Amino acid sequence: MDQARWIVVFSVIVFMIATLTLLHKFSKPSVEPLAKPAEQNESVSLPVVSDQPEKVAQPSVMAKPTSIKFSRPPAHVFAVENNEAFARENRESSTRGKIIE
Amino acid sequence: MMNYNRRGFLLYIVITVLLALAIMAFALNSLKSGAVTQLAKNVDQNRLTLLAQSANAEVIAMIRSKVNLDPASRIFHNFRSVFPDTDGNIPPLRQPIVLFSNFEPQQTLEIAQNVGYKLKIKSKAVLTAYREAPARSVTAFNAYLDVYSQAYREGFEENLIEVHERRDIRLVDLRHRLDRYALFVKNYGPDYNNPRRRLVVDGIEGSGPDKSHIYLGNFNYPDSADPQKYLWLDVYTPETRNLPGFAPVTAYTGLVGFENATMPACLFSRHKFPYGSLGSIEDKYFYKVQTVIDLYETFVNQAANGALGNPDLPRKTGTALVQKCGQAMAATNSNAAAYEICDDFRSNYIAADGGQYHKCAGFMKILNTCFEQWQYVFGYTDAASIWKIDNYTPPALPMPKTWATSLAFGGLATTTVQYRHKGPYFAENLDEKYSDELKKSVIFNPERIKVGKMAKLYGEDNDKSVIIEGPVFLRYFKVGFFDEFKKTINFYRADKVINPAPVPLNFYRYDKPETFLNKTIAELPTGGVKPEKFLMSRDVASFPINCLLGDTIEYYDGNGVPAVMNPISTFGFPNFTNPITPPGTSIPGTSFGRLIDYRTVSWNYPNSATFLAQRVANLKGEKTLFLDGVIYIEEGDLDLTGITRFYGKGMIYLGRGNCTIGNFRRAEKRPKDTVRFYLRRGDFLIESASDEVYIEASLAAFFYPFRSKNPLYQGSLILNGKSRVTIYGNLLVDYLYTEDKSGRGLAYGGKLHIIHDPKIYDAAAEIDGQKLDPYHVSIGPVRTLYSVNSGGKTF
Repeated sequence: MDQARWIVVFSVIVFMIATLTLLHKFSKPSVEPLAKPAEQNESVSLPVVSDQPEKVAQPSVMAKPTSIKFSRPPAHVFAVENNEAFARENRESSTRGKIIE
Repeated sequence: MMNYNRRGFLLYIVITVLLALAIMAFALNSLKSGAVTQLAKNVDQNRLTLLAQSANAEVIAMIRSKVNLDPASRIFHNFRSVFPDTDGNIPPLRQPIVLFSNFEPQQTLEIAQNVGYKLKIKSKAVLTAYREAPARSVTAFNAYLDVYSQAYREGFEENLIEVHERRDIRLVDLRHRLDRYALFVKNYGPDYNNPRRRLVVDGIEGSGPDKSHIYLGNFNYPDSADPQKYLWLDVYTPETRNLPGFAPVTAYTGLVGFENATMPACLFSRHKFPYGSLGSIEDKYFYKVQTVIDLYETFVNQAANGALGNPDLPRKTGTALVQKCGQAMAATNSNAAAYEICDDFRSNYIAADGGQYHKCAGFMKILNTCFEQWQYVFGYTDAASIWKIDNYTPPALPMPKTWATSLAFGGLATTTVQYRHKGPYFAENLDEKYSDELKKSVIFNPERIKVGKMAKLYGEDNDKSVIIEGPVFLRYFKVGFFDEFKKTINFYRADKVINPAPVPLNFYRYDKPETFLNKTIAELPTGGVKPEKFLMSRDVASFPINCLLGDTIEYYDGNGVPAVMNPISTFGFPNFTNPITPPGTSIPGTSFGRLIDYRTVSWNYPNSATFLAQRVANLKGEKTLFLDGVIYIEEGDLDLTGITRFYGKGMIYLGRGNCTIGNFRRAEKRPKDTVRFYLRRGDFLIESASDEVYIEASLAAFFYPFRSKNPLYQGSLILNGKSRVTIYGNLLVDYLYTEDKSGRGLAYGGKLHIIHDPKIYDAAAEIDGQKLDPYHVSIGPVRTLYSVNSGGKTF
């Protein structure tokens, strides 16, 4: 082949490489690292449940705490309910039983 | 020419191909802005919606993980801002609390990135409380949590999807008045003095007004004619003597015996006063004192025998002695001393009322000598020193110890026929009396005969301060007598040695006709906080039980304000007849219970089986109960025997049914967790292969409706013959017993040990530097609202 035809073939190849490179670039965008917001620093942790065997509960009393500070009790701790309140709860519980799934 | 043509043809082909490619590119480009663009957009939106949903799920999971478990997080604190502050101010309802508004859910972003999706996601969560529980004793709220997540591809913010969902939230403050009680028993309990099956209560190690409370009620008291339907707890010297109020109350100075007596050193103190110091006791009360009568009859018989010339004549008394005196007078002259003695007796003896001698000058001379010489001696001791309290099985009565039956010291327990071999104290209290209340004759008070040693309410080591509420008194016993003496007197011109036997001062009920025994005398100082003012041997039973703590007790009054009292101030009456309530109110213990607000309950179950199926799982090889706030079970026996652990914090409220429980404690490494069981119509049954059972829980069984007299309608703890049951929490029941014929109490020698858990007493305490959280937040498992917004956004 003469020189002109080689130029044409070469130009087609270059054109295709360029096209493929561009396609590749746009079809698979690069992954950028994301900045963590403030709340994100609090990692998510759910209760870990495993089937590792553990010793069976023994009747030994919990260890005594070394220091205890009690808080001032809130008002509702000292509230006393009257008979009407209990009667109302009793009525509600009857209804409740019927609507529980 | 030929070459040119071929080259031109190939060039033509190449140009044609390129042209075709150009046309295709152009066509595709045009199409993309139409149907293809639409399709791509649709796919994009679906992806964004999915990822926004994922973001919402992640946000809720994150909130769930922090809301009860991470006190350092803002979420934890924001949820608690719904509750009243320390001054009791409640934030207004329906005020949105923004938990966060620009949260980037990391897990969801990573998912998007991993599939090559360059995404922007941000989330917002808003809490809105809209209802407060109406009951005064319940602090709980209904709220909802709105979670919004927005997702869009980077650079295409106009293509934004926002997903909104709402979850139901229940917020509850688990604290309740009943938490302050280590033990609360509404009904009369028969075993508070039981030495064979002990009840031990260890209160919290508090200071100032922070103390465990115990309420011991007297509802369903046994039929009794006694107007005092109280409970009496017998002090037991080895266990109670180190309590601060013991010595001041009992005049304890170290254990001693009576002087020159063969007896163990068991008296707290002993005292001696001359008869003259007893105050204005009328002579007539002593006319029937057998010792004086015996002595006088001896002298008269001696005089008559002398006059009749036969010292060996049989001894006579009463009317027979009058006849004997008549014969003697006939046998001697009127100037003889024997004549005068016999004449005095014969002339002045009154046959009525079993024979009365007080008109006889000789009798009065002897009696007056006794008045001059008698020393009134008494001492105090505990029941365990008088009776053999360990070696009997009710309903038999305990036998007295030997020393307590001797003549001088038999005032409580002499086994003479006169007292049906039961001793004065038991016989008097077992005597029947007509009850105006019951309209029939009943035993005076069967409770008073239950002597023993008191439950260890001040702890295993007797070192915990607890406030005891209810009609409860401490009890110990007094043994008193007039001591013997020897005195030579001139009796009708002859020297006579007066040596009367000691006079036991027998117990005699206060409500019976007045005698010198039950009449008050001048107050005699004993060194104790109250002087002695009765002659007789008796139970000292008027000190409110709290006197054992000394003269100053700090506590929270009914309004929650620290207060101070001197328990002796109500001497003769209970310090707190009913549980402590606000000043000016008086609410019987039988009216106490725990309400729940059904709308703030976290979980409802129709029966216990469903509850167990959904809430029990294996954790590290043990069946574990998972808690989440207040859980209501409609009915059904709740069998927890195979479940040995619990995880989480909350209360299980069983509407109807028994709860069977064995060894049960917190999950490992979960020291802050607590559980409260409340049975509305049922009993706790202890069931375990082990003879010793250990439970970490608050156990409450108050049968509703309250105040039932039906024995089947009483919430109780059935111990099922175990040797040792330890409850690390507290115990609140209608009825409590440790011994019964059917073996449902404790085994012989058994112990029911209640240790008040400080985490139950105060769910907001700081223990070992860690602040407890009294609140629990439950997040509903289902969406109550869901919406997808394309293009628009709310934040």
